[in-house]
Formats: sequence, C-alpha cells, structure tokens
Amino acid sequence: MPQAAKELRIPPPFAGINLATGVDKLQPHEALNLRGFEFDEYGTLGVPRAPKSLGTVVVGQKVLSAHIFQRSVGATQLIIHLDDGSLRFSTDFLTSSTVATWTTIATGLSTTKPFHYITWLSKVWMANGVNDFRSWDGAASATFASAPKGAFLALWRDTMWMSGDTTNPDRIYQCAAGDPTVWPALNFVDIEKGASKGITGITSVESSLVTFKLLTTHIIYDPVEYTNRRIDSGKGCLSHFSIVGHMGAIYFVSHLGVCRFLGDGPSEIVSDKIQPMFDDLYVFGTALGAQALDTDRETHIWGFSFENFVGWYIPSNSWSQYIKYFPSLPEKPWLFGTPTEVPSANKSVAVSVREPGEYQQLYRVGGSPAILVREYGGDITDALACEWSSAWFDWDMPTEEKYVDMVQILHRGPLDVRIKRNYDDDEFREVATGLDHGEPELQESTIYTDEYARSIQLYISSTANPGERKSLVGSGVSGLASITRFQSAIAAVTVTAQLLGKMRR
Amino acid sequence: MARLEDITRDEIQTLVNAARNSGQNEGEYVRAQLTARYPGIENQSIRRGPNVFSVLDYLVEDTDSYATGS
Repeated sequence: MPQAAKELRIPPPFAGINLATGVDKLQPHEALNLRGFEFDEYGTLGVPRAPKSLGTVVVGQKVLSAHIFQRSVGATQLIIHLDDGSLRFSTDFLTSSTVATWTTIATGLSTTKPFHYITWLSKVWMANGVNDFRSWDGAASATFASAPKGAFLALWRDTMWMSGDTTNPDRIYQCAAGDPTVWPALNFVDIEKGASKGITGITSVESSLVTFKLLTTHIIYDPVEYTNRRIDSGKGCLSHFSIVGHMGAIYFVSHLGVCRFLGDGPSEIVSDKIQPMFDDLYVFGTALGAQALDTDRETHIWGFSFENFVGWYIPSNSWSQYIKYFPSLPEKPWLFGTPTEVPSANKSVAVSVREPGEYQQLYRVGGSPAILVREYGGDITDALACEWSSAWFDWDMPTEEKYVDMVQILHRGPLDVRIKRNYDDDEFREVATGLDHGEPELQESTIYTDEYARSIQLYISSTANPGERKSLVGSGVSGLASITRFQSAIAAVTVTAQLLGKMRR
Repeated sequence: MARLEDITRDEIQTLVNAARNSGQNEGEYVRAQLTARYPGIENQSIRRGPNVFSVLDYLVEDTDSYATGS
C-alpha cells in the first residue's frame, strides 16, 4: 500500500556547491553542481546578465596581468600587460562604447612574467622580477635599474615592500620612507632563508606585512628591524595574484584550498565544500562542472572582488574556470563557472573599479586573443547558460520505490526542469520546458511529474532572461549596474513523493 | 658623516659595476670602498629580524642581487 505523501522542501537561501561529501549526503539546499547561476542578496539563484565585449585588445596576444589606475586628477586607466611584452592602457573602457581603445606605455618587456602593480604617490609602480622596476604617472614612464629585481609589491607603513627576487627568493626589500625611487642598501631581510622554495606572495594588513611561502605564512611586525615570526606552518600561497581583499578580509589560495587570513594565527580554510579541487587524488568530470587545480599553472591564479562575492580565475592548458565565494550570505555558498570565451581561454584576469557617483564595475581580460569584457554589462538579450543540479534524494530509503507526484518551484522567468533517476546521470525526463508563469514577481509553479524512481535529482537550467540591474542614478556606466534583480530566478523548491515499497523483480 | 641607513642600492650598484669592470672581487672591493668612505663602519652592527649582523657583512651579502654588467 502506498504510504502518505512525503514532502522534500528546499527552502531559501540556497547553499551552493558541496563536493566534499557523498552525493546522497548533501543537505537539500546544497548543490552537486552550480554553474552560471549567481546569488542575489537573499540567497536566491538567478541568471545574471552576460558580459559585454569591449573588443579584442591586440590580435594574437594574451593577457598576463591588469591593474586599475585610479587617480585623484585625470581619467582612470585600465593598464594591462600582454604576452607580446607590451604594457598598454585604456581610459574609454569606462564608457559604454563597444570597443575600447588602447595606448602603448612600453614594449620589449617580458612575454611571460606578469607585472604586479601598486598605485601610490599618484603613480603606478610595477615589478615582475625580470624587467627593471618602473613607474607610470599616466603620461610618462620611468625605470629604476638599481632597485631590487622583485616581482611582488605591497604597501605598509608608508613604504613599499618588494619580494620575489629569484636570486634571493627568501628576501624582502623595503624602500626609503615615502620614496620608492630610493632603496637603501641595508633595507632587506631574509625570511627563513633557504628553508623552502622562497616567497610566493606578500600583502599587508594594519599591523603587519604578510609574507607567504609555498607552504608557510610569516608576518613582519616591525618595519624598522623587520622582526618577524611564522604564523602558519601548514599553509602558504600558490599565487601572489590570488591574494585579494574583500569586505575587510584577506583571502588567498593555498595548496589546501582558499584561505582567509586571520591575523596572528593559522589562516582558516574556507573552501571545504569544494575541497576536492585541491586534492591531487581527485579527478573531476566535466559533468560536475570543474576540473582539479592545474598545478603547472597555479602561479597564475587570479583573485578578484566584486559586490557580494570574491572569486578566482583558475587557468589550465585547455580551459579555465572561475570559482566564486559569497561570504556574506548565511550559507557562505560557492559556485563554478567558465569564462565566456572558453575553451580557448588560457588565462583571465579581472579588476573591479568604482568611480565617484557610479556603481562598482567588474572588468575581465582573457582568452586568446585577449578580449576585454565588462562583466554583467551585456545587452538585455544576452544570457548565460545556467544550471543547477540538486543532491540525490532517496528519502533515506535507497531501495524503496517512490512515486514522485509533483515539483513545486517558487520562481520567476522561464526554466527548464529535468528529473534524473536512480543515480544515473543519463536516465532523465524533461518535465518542464520554458516553465514561466509570466509574472514579474516570484510565484509558484506546479509540475505534475508522474515519475517512478528509487532516487531522484533535480536539474534546473535556464538560458533566457538574464538578470537586470536597476539603475538609480545617471547614465553611461551607472545604467549598467546596481541592485541585482534576476529576471529568471529560483527561490524555493518542494518535491512531493509517495513511498511505494520495494519493487519485486 | 653620512648615516649608514642612507647608503643606497645606487651607491652599491656603482661599486659593484666598478669591481666588475676592473676584474676585482666584488665583495672585497665593496667592503674596501665602504670602509674608506664611512670611517668606523667596520665596527657597526645592525639588527635584522631576530639577529644582529655586521653592517659590512650585511651589505656585501646582498651584492649578488645587483644587476650584472655596467
């Protein structure tokens, strides 16, 4: 005899990807795969607006690094380093033009070692460990041949700090007070000299200069005598470019995953739910939406921060992907995605900028050749392919047959809904196509599924109706960004099923 | 007398270049020139991190980080 109907509720907020447990052990609001969809301020899943292309930077060239040069006087510049050995800048990237124009700063520079940048004293200071340390004031360059040949830069206590000198890989240099054109000969210190592979990145917090090695973390807490100590014996940083500040916290990518710097003690690993990405023994299938970390290219991992998430572009030889983390949402969810120009993308870098009176914008340069895109700045007709795969549900009775009566979805906009059966990715039925109640507000749609299975997985996708960002002020860029409102969104799901008992065959 | 902390990498670079151009040992040349320029430097020490170093030793220690060629 059939038992009473059982409901499985997937309430908001959604919790993002969880790859760190069995597929049947996920919480209902966790996802086995989540690509393209993003979270709004309430944890609702929605289709974001697609990027807007601002054109190819230079035909045939790929990007190495990028920097926003925001000045108190003069237009903000987007500076990029390309693998033809050139540094270039654009100022019209902020307007809604379809193709950005680029001006050359310098040529004949490294084609493989990306510049790192610090804006200070109304100039951009650049180092890559190969070429001479250099500055750019928006109109003219200068080089400093006798400055250390470091690759990583940080500001702390009114001085610039530099490391990544391959001749002295454990060394940190400090410039003269307030003057990065002068490097006193005695201003350097070695951090645990010869004890490891050398420094992999530096950054600063209020009380210390943070120095990462591959497997350890150290802080210098005295800017005069360089007194320092090791604070983390188990985690370091894979890529200097992975270090990113977000909402007052410092995040970076270690060999154990994404970490949040905690100040005076070991950093916290925050990527538990996507931990397999960082596990050498784990091989992702593309169906799960992510590949394992490409250790050959781990020094190119690029971090960025935008609105309510912090993300990283992770390049590989064949294709690249991004991971995004939403630490301010209750469930602190993660999601995956691939830049729009893959599979030809070898590397993507992203920088955000907020101009006075405008909303924050996120720009990405990536692909081969490199193109510049304004993320979420696409035309309203552009949409990203988005998909969400739930956990597998068996109501804790894996051998019992169930009659899946209906699926109710609180949503907006058209969605395609598929039910997969019995832990088989290829065994499914499309139960709704273009599911749309036609109302602008969230409303519930009911799908009578009439499905028999021992376990089910919901797969919801959308390729239409991208997100809308409401403009509150002005024109131009401000018209392209602001408060998130996904036109196609999922807020909650309820699955109703009846247990039928074990099937006799 | 100039302060030791004012010795710049430019000054050391010039000394390193001169040593290379004249075929002399870089460390010995830099050490001799700095001793002549800064009387008493051989008795100066500097604290770096947890340790105390001879200033001359510390400066000569870093000469390998300077650009090659003149």
